Amino acid sequence: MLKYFYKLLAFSILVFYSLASTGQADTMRTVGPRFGIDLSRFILMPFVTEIKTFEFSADFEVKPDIYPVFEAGISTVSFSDTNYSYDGSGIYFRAGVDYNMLELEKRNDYSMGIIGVRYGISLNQFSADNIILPDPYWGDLNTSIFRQSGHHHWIELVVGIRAEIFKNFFMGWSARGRVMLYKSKFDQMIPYYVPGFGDPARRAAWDINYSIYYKIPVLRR
Amino acid sequence: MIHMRGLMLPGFFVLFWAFISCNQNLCEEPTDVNFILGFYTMDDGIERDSVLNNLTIYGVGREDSLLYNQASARKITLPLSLLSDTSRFVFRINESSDVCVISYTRFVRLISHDCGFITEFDIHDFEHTGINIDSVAIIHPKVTNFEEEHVKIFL
Repeated sequence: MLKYFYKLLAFSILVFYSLASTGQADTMRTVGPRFGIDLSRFILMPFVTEIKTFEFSADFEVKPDIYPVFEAGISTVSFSDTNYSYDGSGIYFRAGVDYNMLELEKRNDYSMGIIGVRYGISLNQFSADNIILPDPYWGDLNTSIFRQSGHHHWIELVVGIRAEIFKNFFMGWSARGRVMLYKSKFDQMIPYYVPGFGDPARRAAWDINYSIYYKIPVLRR
Repeated sequence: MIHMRGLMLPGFFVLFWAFISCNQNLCEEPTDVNFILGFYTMDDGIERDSVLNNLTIYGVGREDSLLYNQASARKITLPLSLLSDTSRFVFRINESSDVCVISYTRFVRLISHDCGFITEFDIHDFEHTGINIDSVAIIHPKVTNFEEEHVKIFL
């Protein structure tokens, strides 16, 4: 019987706390670290079969509308055809800041229209085997590219939206434009894909992101 | 902010569709890498296009396989060897011949899954024996799958 009493008490406290939180919501704003996972990599997987990526992010509201952001991810690239095979992998980091362009309707309104910038760094390695390039005049080339490593740096512009779907749970998408600032020089070939950036043969790249987030409500102010 | 939540899925699907459209795994990029040379003359300091007649070209050691056989041409395309950092060609115009030595660095590039690899070149030097050829100018040293003239040959 006592067990049921404690359960009822705990439930009552929980309900009271929830109601109290709702009641105070118009005047108090909770802040805390928010962690996210990029779902777009999983959604894109059936369409971009050769690249597998896992990316997470963290941000924190330091001032109203200002959110320093850190993003990190890991990628692998692997595919082959009759006349080549290619393998690559790498990790990447992006750091920057998001600015919320929307005016708050209420103090506990966490919806965001985002414009942001990032500085990105990628460390990657790749190799290619059994490359056969036909040349009917001088003779075919049959070669392999042994493992090469390098790093790439870029700057990124982010535009997107984010909204609170449930209490402390968020969802958001963004479009990202990237411009390469530095890329390592390689002896024989450039990588097919730079994790976190895209195709390094082009100076600019664009990408999408669709993430879910959870905010740990640490502070109320 | 119901309207922000309402934008969540439609906005993403528009971006998703655009991204997939741009990243379809089809080979839509050219895979031919052509080293292109044009013939010119200087006329009172003015550069003019020149059409060469009776032009025969073959690779040194490949006399049995002519690339051009008594042809008329204003521009030519030569195959650079994928096996060496130098390619040598004989340019025979009428009865006199020039030997041209082209030095370059080779890179392989994976265009896409469907297109596969191509070899690109970075031209360092173009030497010639100067019989019919007066001078050369390397105007675009990078030879890629983008079609453009790389070397001007002045006669």
